[in-house]
Amino acid sequence: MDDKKIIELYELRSNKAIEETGKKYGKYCYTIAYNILFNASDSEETVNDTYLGAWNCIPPQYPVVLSSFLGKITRRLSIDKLRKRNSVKRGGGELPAVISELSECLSDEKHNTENVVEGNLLTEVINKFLSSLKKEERKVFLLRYFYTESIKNISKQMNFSESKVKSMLFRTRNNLKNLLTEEGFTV
Amino acid sequence: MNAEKLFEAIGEVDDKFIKEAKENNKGIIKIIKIISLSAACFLVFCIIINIPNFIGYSAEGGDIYRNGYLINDITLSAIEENFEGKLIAKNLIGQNDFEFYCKTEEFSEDENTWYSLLYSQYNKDHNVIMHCMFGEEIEGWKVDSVFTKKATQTVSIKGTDVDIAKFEPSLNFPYTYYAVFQYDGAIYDLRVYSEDEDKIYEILETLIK
Repeated sequence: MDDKKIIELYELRSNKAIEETGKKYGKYCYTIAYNILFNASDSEETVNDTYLGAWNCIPPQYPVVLSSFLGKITRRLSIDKLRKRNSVKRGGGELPAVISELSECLSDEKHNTENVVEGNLLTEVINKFLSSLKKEERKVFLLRYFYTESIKNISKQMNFSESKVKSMLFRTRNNLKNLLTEEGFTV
Repeated sequence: MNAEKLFEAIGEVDDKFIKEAKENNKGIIKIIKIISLSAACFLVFCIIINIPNFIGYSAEGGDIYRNGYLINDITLSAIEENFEGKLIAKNLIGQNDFEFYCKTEEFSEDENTWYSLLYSQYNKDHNVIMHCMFGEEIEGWKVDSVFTKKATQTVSIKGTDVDIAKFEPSLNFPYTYYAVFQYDGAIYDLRVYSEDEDKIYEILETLIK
C-alpha cells in the first residue's frame, strides 16, 4: 500500500493503519530494533511500541517519509529499552562497537558540553556534515551509525569489501570530528 | 558530549538521508545485476546473429568471408572452365541478391584450388544455402549423404533425381528442407529454411533447366 494511503488510515483512526504499517515496514523496524537490542522478543515488543507511537503521533504529525519516521521511533524506543536494562553493554550486538567507534570523534577532554549544546543543534551540524559527504560515504555512515548494521552487512549491501567499509568509516569519523571542532563543539 | 549523545543525535538526522541509506542500496545492486545480465544477453545475442559470418555463410551485404571469397559470374565461368563442367548454380544469378563464394580447405585466391561453391540468399520468408561440390576432390563422394539417408522422398526434376528431406526448425524458420542431387559431375546440397514446402520445389525448378 502507498505510504500516503497508510497515513490516511492513521488520520481516519482505522485499525488497518497498523496492519498495513506492519506489512510494509514491520521487517524494517524489527531490523533496526534487533541491531540495537540483539534480542528477538524485545525487538518484537519495540516494533509494536513503534506502531503505537505512530498511532499517537499521526495526527497531528504527518510524516514526509514514513519509513524514516517509523525508523526514528523504533531507534529511540530501542535505545530507551536498552537503557532500562541498565547497561549498554548488555545489549550486545553491534551497539557497543558503534558507541565505541563514535567516541573516536570525541577528544580525551572531558568538558561537559551538554548544558551548552542542545541535541537539536548537534543534529543540525550532523545534517550539514551528511550533506557534504559523497552519497556512498553518507550511506555507509548511516548504515553503521543510524541502522547499527554490522560491517559485514554493510559490505554486502553496498557491494564493497569489508576493509573498504572500515576505511570509509574511519575517514568519515575523522572528518566529523574536525567539523564538530570547527563548529565550536568541545568534543 | 559523549558518544551516546552523538549516537542519539544521529538518530534525528534528516529523513531523506535515512531513507536514502536503506532503500537505494538493494536497488543499485539490482540495477547493476540487471545491467550485467542485459549486457550478457546482448553479447550472446550478438554472437548468435553473427554465427553465419563466423561459420562461413554470407549475410546480407557481406563481401569477404572468413573461409570464402565473393565471386561474380565471370569468375564463375572461369571456375566452370577449370572444372570442365556446368555449374547450375549459375542459373540463380541475377535473382534478388544472390551471393556466391568459393571454399577451399584453406582459403586461397587461386581459383584452380577451389572445389566448393557456396550460394546463399537471405529473405524475409525464407533463406537458401546451397553447396556445390565439384572438381577432382569430390571424386568418390557419394550422394547418399547423411541427409539422403533420411530422405523422405525422391522426386524427379526434369530428369534429375533429387532426394528431399524435411527437418525440424532452424535459423528461426519452422522447417529446413534438404535437397541433395548430382548434376553434370557436381554434387549439390541445397537447404531451404522456410515454412512453405513448395519453396524448395520452386528453387529446384529454377536451378535445373
